[in-house]
Amino acid sequence: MNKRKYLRRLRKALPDLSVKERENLIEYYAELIDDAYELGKSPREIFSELETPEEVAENYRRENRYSEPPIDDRRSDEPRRPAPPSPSRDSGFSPLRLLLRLIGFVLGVGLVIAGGAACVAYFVALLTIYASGIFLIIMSFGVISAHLSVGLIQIGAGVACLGAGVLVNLLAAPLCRLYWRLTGWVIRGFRPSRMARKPLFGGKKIASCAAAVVLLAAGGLTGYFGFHGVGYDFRKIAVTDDFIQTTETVSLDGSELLSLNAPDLAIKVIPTEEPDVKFTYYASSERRLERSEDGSFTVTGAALSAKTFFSESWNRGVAYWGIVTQYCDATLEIPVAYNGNLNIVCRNGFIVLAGGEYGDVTLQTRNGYLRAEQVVCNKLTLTTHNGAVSVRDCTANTVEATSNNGLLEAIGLESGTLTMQTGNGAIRLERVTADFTTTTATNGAVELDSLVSDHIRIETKNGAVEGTIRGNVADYKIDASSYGKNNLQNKSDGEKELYVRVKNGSVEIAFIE
Amino acid sequence: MDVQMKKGLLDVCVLALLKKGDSYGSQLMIALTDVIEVSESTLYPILKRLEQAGQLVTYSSEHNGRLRRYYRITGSGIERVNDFERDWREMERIHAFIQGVRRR
Repeated sequence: MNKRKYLRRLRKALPDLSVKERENLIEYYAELIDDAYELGKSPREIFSELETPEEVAENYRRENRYSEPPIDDRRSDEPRRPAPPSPSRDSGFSPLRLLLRLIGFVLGVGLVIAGGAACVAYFVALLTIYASGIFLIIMSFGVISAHLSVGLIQIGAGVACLGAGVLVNLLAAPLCRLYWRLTGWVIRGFRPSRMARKPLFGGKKIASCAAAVVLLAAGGLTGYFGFHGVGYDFRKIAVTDDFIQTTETVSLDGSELLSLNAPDLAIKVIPTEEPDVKFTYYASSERRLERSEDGSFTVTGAALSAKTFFSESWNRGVAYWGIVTQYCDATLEIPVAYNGNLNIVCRNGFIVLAGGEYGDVTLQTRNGYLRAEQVVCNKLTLTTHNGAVSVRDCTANTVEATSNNGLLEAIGLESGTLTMQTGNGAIRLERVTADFTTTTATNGAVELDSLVSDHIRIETKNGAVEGTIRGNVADYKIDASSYGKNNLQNKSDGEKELYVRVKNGSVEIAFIE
Repeated sequence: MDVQMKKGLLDVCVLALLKKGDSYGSQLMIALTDVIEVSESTLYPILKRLEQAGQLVTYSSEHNGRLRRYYRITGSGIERVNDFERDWREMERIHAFIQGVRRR
């Protein structure tokens, strides 16, 4: 028997009472049980001392028959007086109470949503800590036979993660309980609960505390021995090559194309007064610069890919990736006299092209941003999957910027044809001059600031189009439509052209002189 | 003891306890069981009846994170205890008289 079952049976045993009368009696017994718990009685003692719910119901009916005419208790010579209103909490209607209930409900809903989100985040974080710990321990089995110190560091980190998880759980549980108590108090119209509650820091936590301390200590000690083994050098917590910063000088020999494929490097391209190309990067026995027969350059080795993630982590330690990525910066210096084409491709790094005059320029990456600054060229093509594209103070006949997931921006650009396309991201044009301007976004706004262009074509599905176009509205043939607000009036006369298509978003474009 | 008399006495016992200070159900229960046999299901109707008669009032106060119902005696309740004591002294006089008659 427990409190809930006892009260449920009592409620079932009193079907003939009014709701209020029944609930008052149940509340009375709930308080008795709670008080008995507080006195340190065990459930067995409590429920053996109490009458059964059926007996309680029977006695109550009998006693109540006796007490029904309450006037019986009065002395016969005493004048009858009406009973004063009971100050019991259930009595009467109070506008203040109603207001508090309403406020409490509104605030409570917000607190429940926020609390729910926080709980989800907390569980995800806790799960991540535990998963990381287990992952580190499992992956250490691969490397420990060949590199004991690296293995010990990983095991230590994994065990410490498990300890940290237990500790976080210990600390967070009372906070969660406190939060839900506060939420309950607000929802009830700022009234405390009638139910007995567990203490915030109650329960058998000593075992958990001890487990957390033991795990943290064991993890720390194991890690200490591991670090001692590698001479406290953080670069050796995984098995990697020794990276040496290297500068290689290459003569272009009149070539019209400089092509570099460096999958895992982040490359900065700068002009130099020197006659030859210089490529500075971190080389190792695996990573080196090679020149193929067609004259293009490729950086080999130390590839970062999802395919090799587990195998490399198993063989070299999970910190391998963190260490390798410390050595990904590269600089390509190109002679100012070189006016040929430039083609740079990488996969997991950014590319910055800082100045220079070229023919056609292609910058391509997959996971990283692209930036071109103060570049003069014929055609500038920038393509990335996951990253932003920025073109600043450049001059080019044709500019094409594409990203699947990223912001596109052009600032201070002069171009014949400008084409920008993104899936998820905004497009921003500031002080851009172009004969033909085309921007396409799926989920993102388009912002214009002093755009000068004779043929403008703007499309977005989900996002606003707003900003300023330099020119006279009378000169433009306008074809604009949007499901949202649209300040443009379509008209068919005009030498210039403005085409705007927005599905879910507003259009607010102003023409300035 | 006659059931009705016992119930009447319980009423006064409860009021006498409350005259000393506000109290709550289980505390009253513990104090009463030292003097007279009573169960929880007997006490509750007494408290309810006394409340209806205006001899005590209830209020709720927070205790250990929950609400607990407290009982407080009213002027009418105090008057009833005083009446009982006055009647009891009269009963004692009558009792003494009865004993005196029996001895004669």
